[in-house]
Amino acid sequence: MRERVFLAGIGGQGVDSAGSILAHMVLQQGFDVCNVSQFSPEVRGGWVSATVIIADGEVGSPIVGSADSLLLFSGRSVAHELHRAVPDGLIVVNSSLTGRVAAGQTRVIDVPATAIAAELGNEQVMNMVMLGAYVEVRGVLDPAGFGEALEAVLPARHHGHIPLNLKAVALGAQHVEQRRAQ
Amino acid sequence: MSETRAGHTEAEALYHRPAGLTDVQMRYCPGCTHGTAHKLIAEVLEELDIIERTVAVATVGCSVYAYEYFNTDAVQAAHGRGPAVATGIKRASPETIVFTYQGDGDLAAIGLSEVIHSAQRGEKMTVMFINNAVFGMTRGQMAPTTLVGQKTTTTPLGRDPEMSGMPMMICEMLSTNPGVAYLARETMIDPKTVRSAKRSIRKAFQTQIDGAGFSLVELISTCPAWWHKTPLEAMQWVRDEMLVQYPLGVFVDYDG
Amino acid sequence: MTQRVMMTGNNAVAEGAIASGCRYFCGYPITPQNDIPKYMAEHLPEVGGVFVQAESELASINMVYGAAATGAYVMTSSSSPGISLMQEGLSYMLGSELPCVVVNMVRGGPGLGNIGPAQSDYWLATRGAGHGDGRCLTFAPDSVQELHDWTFEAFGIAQKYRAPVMILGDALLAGMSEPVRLREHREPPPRDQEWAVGGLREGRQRRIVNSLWTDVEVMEELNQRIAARFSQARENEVRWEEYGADDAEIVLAAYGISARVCKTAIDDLAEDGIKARLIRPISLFPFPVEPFREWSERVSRIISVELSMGQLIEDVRLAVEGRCPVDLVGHSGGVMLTPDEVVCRTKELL
Ligand SMILES: Cc1ncc(C[n+]2csc(CCOP(=O)(O)OP(=O)(O)O)c2C)c(N)n1
Ligand code: SF4
Repeated sequence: MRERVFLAGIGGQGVDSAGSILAHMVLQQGFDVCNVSQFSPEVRGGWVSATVIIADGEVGSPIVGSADSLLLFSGRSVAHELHRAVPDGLIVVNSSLTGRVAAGQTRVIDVPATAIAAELGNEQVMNMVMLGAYVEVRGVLDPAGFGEALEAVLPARHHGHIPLNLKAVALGAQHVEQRRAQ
Repeated sequence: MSETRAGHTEAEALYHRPAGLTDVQMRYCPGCTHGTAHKLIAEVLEELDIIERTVAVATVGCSVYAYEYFNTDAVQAAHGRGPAVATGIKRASPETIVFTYQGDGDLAAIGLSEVIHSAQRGEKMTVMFINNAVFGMTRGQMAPTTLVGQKTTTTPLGRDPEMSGMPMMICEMLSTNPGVAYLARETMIDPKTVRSAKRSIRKAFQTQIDGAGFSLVELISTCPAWWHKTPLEAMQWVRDEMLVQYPLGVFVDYDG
Repeated sequence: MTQRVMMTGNNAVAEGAIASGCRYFCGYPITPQNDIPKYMAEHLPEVGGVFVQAESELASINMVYGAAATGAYVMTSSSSPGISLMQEGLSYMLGSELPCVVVNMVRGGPGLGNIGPAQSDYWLATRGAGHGDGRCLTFAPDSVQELHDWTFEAFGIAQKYRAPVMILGDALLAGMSEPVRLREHREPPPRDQEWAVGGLREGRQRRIVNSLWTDVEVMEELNQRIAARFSQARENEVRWEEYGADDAEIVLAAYGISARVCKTAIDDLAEDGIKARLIRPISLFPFPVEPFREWSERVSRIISVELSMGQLIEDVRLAVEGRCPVDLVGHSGGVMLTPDEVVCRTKELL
């Protein structure tokens, strides 16, 4: 099994920390993993991406041209990164910012992640809504691992926010379930 | 003591080679004050009883062989990098007394950055700065400290400030640096100035022993070879020209 | 066995150094290796070590020279332009027979270049150590775990051969995170080398660390001594990894991050029925001549896959001695290769 996950957005959207949290969960759940985050040179507000590779053997190349799953946080990332999707791939988009996205045979999941996060009172947890939705649809990872991963990645001074983050994960998953039910 | 005159088989030693120097014969030109500077440093090392815990850092210039002359552990450093090498030694071995021995090309030209930053960090090291207003080893080119009008192989008509700027005043420059604990300019052209130079050298090493910070003594020196002067003329030239540009004195004294 | 933790390449290098007993680090900031000095500044004081931010890479390597002269485990790290500035110091260290560890997280060049991943300092490392007849013992990890392990090992190797050891990474390896099984910390070894200066002499003979020998015969003897150590390294320190088909029709030669790309490319080629094998030099100097010599008799060609305009390829050609053609597939200037591209180019060349 080799699942290539590509997350993209703009600076400040939590792409980098989403990549780290995902990578920690992967490691905890017994897979091998590699996480490459890349930034444009601006100190604030440039583009950010994270490539997380989940493997049950050698990870191999940390850089991939195409991805099995895309998590697109912003309109810009849709414009620039959609081409990475493999034909039967999965695309999770933050539809609050991207609008509806259609892309050939790929499976597109619209999640109004910014709106859901705003309802929780903190747009910052948009990234966790996206991760919650991804983990739920893909079914590779056990969502029970989120708590431990958040503890490992967030600095101790932010551990007070972990319950909020977990709520965001749950709402992301719930959104996917509801869509499935429809 | 050898028998020199009938009846005088034993003599009292009035002078001996300082224990801080090896028996190796120095290769400096006649009338060059590099030798005097070595002797004063060696005497101070002996008097302060620190020969066995000192590492000398020889740099690149006529004094490159300083590692053969000082009776201490020694490290030979690349041109200009002495203070960085000394920083490494001192940080990795703080009980060691470390000094660099640098000419004006080494310290004020290629190595200016290293000496300023070592001072800035307040490195507990001692710098012996030999200012003879030329590059000696490479055969008499202009140094940053060359006097206005002074002829060198690269200023054949004399140093022209329009072309090459003014002489660099290292002590004045370092005197505002907060890491410096002891800073003095001395010369070695007569018994009085030699005694004064030795006092400053001693104080500079004492500064390091006390852990007070960075210390540097600039020694206005002679280069009869590239000044094209006899040793005596060179001494006189120091008095008449060098000391006008480079006034002697103690610039910083942490407990003065 | 200890648990694995997620770490970036930079942090894994720094932690590997501290675990190995390195207590002295001098460096000057340059992207993409800034997390190494950051980690050192934070963690060296916890173990009684010293971090000095130098005013330039010239100063860094000369501080390293001074600390190494006292027999300590000492390290600096930088990226390409900074390593250029260190060449003089490296030459002095080799000439004075001093050990140290230098990490180069290579970026795009020449000139100021960029902060993208590159492998264009292969020559600077393996032919480097500045002027004179020297080179750097060079190791090229291809994962965060290996960065940790090789940095740990590098100090012992440097001491054994009394020479600088270079760890060659790149911008991508430096920043990416992977699981690492951390080494246990060991105490810094005693500084009892018969050449180390400083400390309290207590009557022992004085010692001189020096690279100036005006007697040309003595100088040549030093060069012979260094060369003999390098020969010894060729006996003992050659490391490589092979991956892929045992009955391959084509060989890919790649080190570091490019080798990672090639591993995936080889798996993808196998799915298309093409049997390929990777030879990954881990020690770049001394170079693993043996596997290339052997495989050059068995395959139609060898492709050197590297992030440069062709540097590794010269060592491969020297090893192959004309027995089979050697081609280059590469990018430079910070542009990254992908497995898809390696697959396509391999098919074209086959
Ligand atoms: C990198 C480098 N550049 C140039 C030289 C050549 N060089 C040797 S000594 C010297 C100047 C020495 O002058 P100074 O420091 O004034 O010492 P002096 O010989 O006058 O005692 C130069 C330029 C060198 N050894 N290394
Ligand atoms: S060249 Fe000048 S500095 Fe050098 S030894 Fe002779 S007199 Fe002294």
